[in-house]
Amino acid sequence: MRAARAAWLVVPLALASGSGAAADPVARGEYVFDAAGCAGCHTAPDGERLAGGRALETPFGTFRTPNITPDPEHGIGGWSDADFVRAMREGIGPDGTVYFPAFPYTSYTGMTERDLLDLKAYLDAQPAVAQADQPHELDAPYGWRFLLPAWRLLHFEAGELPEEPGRDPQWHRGRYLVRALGHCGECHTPRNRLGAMDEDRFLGGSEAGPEGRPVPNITPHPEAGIGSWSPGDVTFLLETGMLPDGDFVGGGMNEVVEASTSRLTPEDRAAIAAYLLSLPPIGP
Amino acid sequence: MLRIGTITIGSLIAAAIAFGAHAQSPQPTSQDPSEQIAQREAAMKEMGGAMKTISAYVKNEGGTIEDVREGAATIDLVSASIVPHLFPAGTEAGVGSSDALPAIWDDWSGFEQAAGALTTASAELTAAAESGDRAAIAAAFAATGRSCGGCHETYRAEK
Repeated sequence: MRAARAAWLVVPLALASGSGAAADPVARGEYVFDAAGCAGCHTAPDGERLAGGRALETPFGTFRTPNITPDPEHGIGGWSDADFVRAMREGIGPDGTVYFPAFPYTSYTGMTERDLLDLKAYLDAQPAVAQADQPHELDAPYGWRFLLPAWRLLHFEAGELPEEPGRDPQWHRGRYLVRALGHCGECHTPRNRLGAMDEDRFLGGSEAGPEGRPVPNITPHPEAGIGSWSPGDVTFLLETGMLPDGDFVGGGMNEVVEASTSRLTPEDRAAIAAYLLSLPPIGP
Repeated sequence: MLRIGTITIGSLIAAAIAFGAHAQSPQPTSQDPSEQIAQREAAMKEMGGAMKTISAYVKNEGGTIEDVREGAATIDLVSASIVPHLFPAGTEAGVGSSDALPAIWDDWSGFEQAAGALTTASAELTAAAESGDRAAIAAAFAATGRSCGGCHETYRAEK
């Protein structure tokens, strides 16, 4: 059964789980990069890869993503490891700039140091693109950077995810992939007026997701969510984009499947399914 | 025979051929927008059902090669109707139960291209189903699914 399934996989899993990958930080970092879905936001349609400039339309205005290629002037080429870790985990740039939470540092704060440094090794190995960042176009008061430190105090908790007693390693891995790397909640969790995720409705769906489109509830609620799905239904969606009824996801999730979840190992997709199906069901 | 509202998939295809596969604007098979939307949704559901059937075969979870061939034929038929018939103007989201985004009509050539990707993938799926080669079917199934998702990504409001 397992062999029959592996035979049709179109994903180069060897890249993710081969023995060569384990030894090489760049290869390991590529896996982290895919799992964290960096390429999607940091590449504009028809733009240079990772050079930023993609417009993210939100209820707060339009964000324009920055260049994360190793270009020393326009990208992150001059950053130290410590600069990178601080930016990812705390949302603070090397010059002290506080980031808007459109950059999901609120999720990446849970990343391990090892994954962060592998990710940096991978990014440093990509071609540099000399393309300047474009300014965001935000509505007051959301566009006022001087309010961001206060936002952080109100809505941001830094640090890795605590060990949960009674949960197995697969569940912990799933939680890490969903909450930290995959930052699924950034779209699937509703936000309050100040753009913070409503933790009480974690993954309970959002009326106003990216580009103003609704995003579904992925908690195991039998009607409102994915409570009737088997773990295999979840992993097959993450691998191919197919819903249990044969429909195929769109609305941004197709891109997530192609660039991220289809590239994960089957074990990691199974861990995501196990974690999602263990969550408290959230009703309509 | 698969029936959509009061018409069959076969009559949709006959109409598609009559109007020409390269018609510049969609030729609806009904004048009533809610009927047009109902036909489209029924056709899409039928195509989804076919994909589900083929996925079961691909995963070795049941289904015969005959089921796969029938499913591929359904997808061929629906996909040939998308551009010429299934998306007449005036059936965008906001009308009835429609989830079709205005981007379809704002960017008709982009939409035609996305629909063309399905036609190409589904022709490969049909050929693979005829050959009976499981690996080829699996690859063509995955490619067909990517074309479904590719179109939904840009042109459909998710529920």
